[in-house]
Amino acid sequence: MNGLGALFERLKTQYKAWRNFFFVVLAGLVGLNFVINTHEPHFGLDKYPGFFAGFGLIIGLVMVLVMKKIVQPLIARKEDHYGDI
Amino acid sequence: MATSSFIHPALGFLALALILPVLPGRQWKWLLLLPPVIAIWSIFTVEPGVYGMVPYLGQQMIWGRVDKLSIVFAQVFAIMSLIGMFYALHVEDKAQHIAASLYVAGGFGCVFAGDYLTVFLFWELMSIGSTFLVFLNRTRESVLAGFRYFLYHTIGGLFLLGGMLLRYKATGTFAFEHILPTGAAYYDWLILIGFCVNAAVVPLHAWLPDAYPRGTVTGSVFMCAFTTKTAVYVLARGFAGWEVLAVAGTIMAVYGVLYACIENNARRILSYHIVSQVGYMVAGIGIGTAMTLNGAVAHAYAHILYKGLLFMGTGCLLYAAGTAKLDKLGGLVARLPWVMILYMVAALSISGMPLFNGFISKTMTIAGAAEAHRTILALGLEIAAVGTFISVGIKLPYFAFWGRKPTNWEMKLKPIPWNMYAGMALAAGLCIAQGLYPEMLYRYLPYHVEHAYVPWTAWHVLQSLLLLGFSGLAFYFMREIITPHAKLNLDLDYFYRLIGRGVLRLVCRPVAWIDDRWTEAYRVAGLRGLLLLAAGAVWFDKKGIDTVVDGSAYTVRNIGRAGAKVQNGNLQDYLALAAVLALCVFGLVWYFG
Amino acid sequence: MTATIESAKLLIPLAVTLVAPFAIWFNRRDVNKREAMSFIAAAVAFLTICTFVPGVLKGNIYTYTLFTILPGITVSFVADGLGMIFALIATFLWGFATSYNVGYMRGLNEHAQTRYYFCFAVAIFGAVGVAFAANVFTLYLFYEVITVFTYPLVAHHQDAEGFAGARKYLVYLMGTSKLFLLPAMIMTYVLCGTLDMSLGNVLTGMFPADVVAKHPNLVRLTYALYICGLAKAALMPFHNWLPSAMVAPTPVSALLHAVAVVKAGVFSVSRIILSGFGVQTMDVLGLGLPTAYLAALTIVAASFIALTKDDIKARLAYSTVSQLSYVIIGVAMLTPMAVQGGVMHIAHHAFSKITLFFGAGAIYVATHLKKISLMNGLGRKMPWTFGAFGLASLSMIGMPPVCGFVSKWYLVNGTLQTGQIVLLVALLMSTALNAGYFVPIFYRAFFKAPVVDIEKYKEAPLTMVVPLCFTALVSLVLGFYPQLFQDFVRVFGNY
Repeated sequence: MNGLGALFERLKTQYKAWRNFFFVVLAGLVGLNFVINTHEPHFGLDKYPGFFAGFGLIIGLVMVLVMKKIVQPLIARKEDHYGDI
Repeated sequence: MATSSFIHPALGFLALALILPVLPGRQWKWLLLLPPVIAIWSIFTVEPGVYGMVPYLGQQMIWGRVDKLSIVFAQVFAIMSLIGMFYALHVEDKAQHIAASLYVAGGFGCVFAGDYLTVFLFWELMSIGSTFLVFLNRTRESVLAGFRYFLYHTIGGLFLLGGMLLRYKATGTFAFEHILPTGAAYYDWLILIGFCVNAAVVPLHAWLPDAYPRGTVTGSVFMCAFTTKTAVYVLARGFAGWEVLAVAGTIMAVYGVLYACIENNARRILSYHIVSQVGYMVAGIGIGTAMTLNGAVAHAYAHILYKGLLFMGTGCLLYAAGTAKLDKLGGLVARLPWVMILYMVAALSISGMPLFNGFISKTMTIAGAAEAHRTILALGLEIAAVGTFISVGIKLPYFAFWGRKPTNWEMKLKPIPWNMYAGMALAAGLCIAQGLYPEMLYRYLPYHVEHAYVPWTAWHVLQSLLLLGFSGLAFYFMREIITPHAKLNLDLDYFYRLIGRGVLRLVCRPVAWIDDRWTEAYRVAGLRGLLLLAAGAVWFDKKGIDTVVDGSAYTVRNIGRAGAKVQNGNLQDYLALAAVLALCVFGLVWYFG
Repeated sequence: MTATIESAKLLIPLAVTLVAPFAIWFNRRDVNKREAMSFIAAAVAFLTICTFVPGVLKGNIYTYTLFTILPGITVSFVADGLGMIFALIATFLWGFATSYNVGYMRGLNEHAQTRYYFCFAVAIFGAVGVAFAANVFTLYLFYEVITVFTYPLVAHHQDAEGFAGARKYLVYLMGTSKLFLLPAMIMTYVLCGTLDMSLGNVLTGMFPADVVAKHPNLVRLTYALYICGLAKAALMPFHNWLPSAMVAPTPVSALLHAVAVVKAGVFSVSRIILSGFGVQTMDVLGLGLPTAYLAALTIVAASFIALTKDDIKARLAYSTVSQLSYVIIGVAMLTPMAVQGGVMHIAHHAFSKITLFFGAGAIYVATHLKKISLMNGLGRKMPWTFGAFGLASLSMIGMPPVCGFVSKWYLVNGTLQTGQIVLLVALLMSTALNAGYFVPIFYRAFFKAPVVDIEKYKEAPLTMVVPLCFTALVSLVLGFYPQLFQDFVRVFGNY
């Protein structure tokens, strides 16, 4: 394991700190959204600050929930379902 | 330095494919890099124009239609071929290099084709080359997948052939130009279907996630770049502004990421991603304004680079660890740090993170869609962007490299050869370079826009960061739920296979059964029929002629008896019967004629 | 302009192929001298036929009348564009088939080899005779010669299966020719007063316009009798003799059933349609399209059946049935592109199909395997054989740049000229179906794990592998330079 690998090993142990840093950055970005905004909204709603934040979060949550909890149980089969392997 | 002649990039690759089998020794590997270099030089120095008229089958084929659109695609193809050849330098199997060379040659041929016949010839060449890239993986899975792939693409090619022939009949020319959506005829739709098969438009897309994960480690890198982008090129050339593409593209974009969220095999996730990203391009082509067309082209350019890098990264995982399945991987970041970093460059590019080339291309398409007042399409594309980051940007690397496991020391990792890193570094470098200096890419975009798109504005950066950041937050909350499991998710190929089996069972077997019954009919009807005729001849002889002339009647009766023995298959009996028949027919004709 | 030249030189290739069997029989004690006779005869016949090439390509037609039997019935020969194609491929491939025969017969230590080579040579004599036939009687005569002298070849193994297959072969071919072809010939004589075909153009046939006008149904009946009588063309439903004749040794299947016998059939059909009836008569009587539809049905149905066959020769047999109808559909469509495609396919298919049959025979000699499902992994042991097999398969599928693509291209363009979309769809479907049953043979051989022990196998003897690689190479070359055979058709049809 080379130096870079060792670096990542160390970073892994600090993951909580990195996670908190991530949350701080997100909050900062939302704050910036109040200052910097678009002049030509694409969807009408996106002129409101925090739109894309909410959009990203909600769509992401819904997508994963729907796909993993509803759709995949319907269409998942065992790996060798077609007898190919 | 501009030249007035043109060395067709395909020629170098065709030559390589022809001489590779006969080259001895070990040094032939360096020859692999020669055709890409020649191709790059040729494309950067050529002047727009029409070159290479080749007569064949009574048509004048145009092999070198060089204009801004074909140059930009050829340029990225050439760069990618260099990257891919670097990545594949370690492969000892010459057959894989030959297949890849033929495949790349096909791609160049299609891009520079000026008429449909040339497109078709190189289309089929690409099909053959890529089929071998799947076959040469030599596992049972790959072989069967390769066969399905070949069959499917052959049928797609037949739609193209049928459409272009009917078009020729109606218009008298094979010229490959833009087709106006208004007043398009049924044969244009047939051509469109043929192109859409290669572009993996939903619902014709299922071949992609079926075949690409099963290709060779290096072969899939080539495949992810060329087949679909060649299809994007021909769609841009011929079908810009077709509304159906705008809708289909958006559906593709969302469909792809939805499946990518639930897939387990890393290369299959990326394959569904290709469907999604090509959806962006197809939608851009469908909307048809100069900005969206530029966006589609820019996206294609960037996509080839970062998708290639993604496949290279997961290819390294497959090569080193022997599997690409996320449920089996994990905890590898300490042992493969550079693979992770290079992979993340591509992952951030594909997500549209500022500093990488996805940012400068993806946002152009979405902005173009919004400016053309296609709000629903723009919304769909934004949704797809969220899904992209979640599945390819975070899920894949997270479960491959981290996965909440301690560093996986037990898994045996094959050392990764230097050339694979070299290829990845080259691609990553270009991704970053284009992200920082968008002009590098923009100056080659073919369509003229009134106000150029400027990606590096404060708002664009902030919007991307917000979208991506909060998608990441969504992943963080969902990280338990999104854990991949080893399952096969049914897709539309379920129906393709059904059709295949159905044809075999409902058509082929019954027809063969009928044939098996009919083949015995000669014995039942044929020989018995001959016997009957022979008996008839005997009767005719007895009742008819016997009463007329006694002496000759004996002779004729003997002939009739001989005819009764006809079932032994003797030649003279056939001749005798023939003589009788001839007399009968002659008599009939004389009477009626 | 076409000039008709009387030339006794036409008899030379016929004489050579007639003498060859006797030379073979004469040398029966010394096997190498005996084989040499076949090689020499093939070379001489081919070269003498080649001497006519420049003249024929200029538009000349060479004829010669040997003798007269009845007024209006002679034994006459002609060398024009159509006939040259068939004669050239028959004699050219005879040489390669002889090399292959040597490898096969000696490799399996077969019995009755002299009889085999004798009959083989006579069959070629018959083929050349059919190719150069100038009237229906000569055509019929040599057609029957082929049937009679291929019977011992089909029955060669002299086992129950061999006799059963050969008997079926004979019943089908003799039965149809006596029941249908002979009456057709007689009716033609009665209607036209002559059996001489109309050479020099494809528009007017033998039937004078007033005869056609006065007795359209009789002429139609004559046509139907011809089509039924020429069962060697394997048009459904008279095709079953072909799969049954596969009991013959594979070289027999290769040359005769992929090249000479079946080509005599489709050649005769082409001759009858183009020189016998002529495009105009066919058009007036509406005979072209029904024939084309029957051919289209054969093309598709035979491919469906081929998909279900596991025996490699059975699969190839049904593929042949399908591909022969490519020729018929082309000629029956009567348009310039279609006729060019159909007639070129006589040659293109010959080279590709002989490669495939050679391949099947090589596999049998090397491994005694006949079932495709057992051939997994064999490609690694026999790369040249399966490589050539793959190339020839591409030709059958109709992929560029192999020659099958060229004839298919002309055929589909021909369907456009007739406006018959159903025929276009049939040809396109055939492409996909061919891919469906040829590609598995290839990928099984090269990429699947073996199911039987294949370690002990290696390539078939060189005398077999070299010809099949060569014919595969020719298929590729013809794809790039189709002018080789296209010029003959052009000259024949004045296109």
